[in-house]
Amino acid sequence: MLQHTGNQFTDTTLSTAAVLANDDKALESLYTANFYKTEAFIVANSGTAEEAKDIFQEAFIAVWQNVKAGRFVPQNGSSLEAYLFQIAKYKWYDHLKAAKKINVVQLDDGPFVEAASNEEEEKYMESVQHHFKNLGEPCKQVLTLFYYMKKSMANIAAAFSWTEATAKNNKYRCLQRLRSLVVEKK
Amino acid sequence: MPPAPPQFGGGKKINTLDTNYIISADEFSSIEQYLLDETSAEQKLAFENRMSRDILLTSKVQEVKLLLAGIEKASLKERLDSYHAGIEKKPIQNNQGKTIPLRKKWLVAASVALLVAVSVWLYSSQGNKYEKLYATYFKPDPGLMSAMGIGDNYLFNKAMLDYKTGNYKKAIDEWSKLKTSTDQNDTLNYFLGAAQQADGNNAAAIVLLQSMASDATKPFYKDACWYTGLALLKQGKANEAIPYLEKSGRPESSELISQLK
Repeated sequence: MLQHTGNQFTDTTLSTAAVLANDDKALESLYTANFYKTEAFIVANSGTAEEAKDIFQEAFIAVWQNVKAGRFVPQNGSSLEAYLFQIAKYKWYDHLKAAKKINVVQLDDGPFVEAASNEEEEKYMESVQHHFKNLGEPCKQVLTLFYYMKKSMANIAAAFSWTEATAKNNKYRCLQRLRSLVVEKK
Repeated sequence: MPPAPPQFGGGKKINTLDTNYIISADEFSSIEQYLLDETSAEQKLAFENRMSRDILLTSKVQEVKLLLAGIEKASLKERLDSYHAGIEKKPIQNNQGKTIPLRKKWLVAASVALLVAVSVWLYSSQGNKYEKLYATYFKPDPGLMSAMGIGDNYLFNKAMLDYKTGNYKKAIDEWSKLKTSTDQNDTLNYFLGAAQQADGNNAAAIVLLQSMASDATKPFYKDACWYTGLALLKQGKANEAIPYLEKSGRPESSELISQLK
């Protein structure tokens, strides 16, 4: 839970290690504990609940990516929660600026800058995400269990009542299928 | 399983990220091991040496890295939507109309905290023994084999996979959608109860499991007896638990009952 240390808050439960491990419970609590605050901020600043959801999820993914890339290291009591809110705020200001709803002074991105990524790599990743949605449930399950939930092949094989060799082969086929969609339809 | 995928490779180029090659299963496996850091220091070095001599291999590694990162991100996005669906079900408090004065909020918070503290104290002084026995003997039902086939049971099996991988909340969510008020699907009721129990929702589990445990002709009768007995024990109702445990036919039931008498 949150502990008060001077005038800063230190988060002792939502560690970066939990984010690195894609710990479902920790990520869910980070999400649910912070959504309303962001929603209230966005709604109070000419946004809608739907926009709040999109911006919050974008910010959440940015936090997750920055933690994974080692760009966020908690220091001096800074917390993931504060970081998440801060990124959501910046993203909302950017959105308003792009929609010309307000005249925002250029903000200093400070530590919140996202990865400088190469455009074609970005396109490839977007395509992976797009085709993943349409991959079919069994493939999505296998790939999510292995690459996101970090379950072992033995565990996945048991869950599907497959042998481990079949599980490995099926995972490869699913990857092949996803890759061919990305490479050919792009 | 999904239908046979098209041949890997042979695709068009994406700008300068050259993807016009085939990655075999073995090659994929070695690239993946390298990227997921599942190799020994020597293997890693050898792989990096190969990469420095083989530009094509370097391109493949770069592409697979993006592919895996894309999958991870897409999976996260799906989880976020599921978290969001979870919070949308809960009513938004204090956002609509009435606001509770701050001082009153503190009073409410303080009285809730006091109530929780008192209940925990009362519970732990009496229920600790049963709680410990429950923790010792309770192991979630291992679940059914599911083939993930396409058909009537597809949604049921999909949620069974969530159940078997410990994602009880999602399984409860999915199975609850399949349950209609007139539905007397015993298998569904039993596993919904099992998932509720594994997720720590003891009262909800008892409602579902006890009805299965009251009719010896039901398919999961003995298992339902065992889990109903354990759920009652967790509530501190040892006397009510014993008859169910006796009917369960589990080898460990007599040992457990002897500790309750």
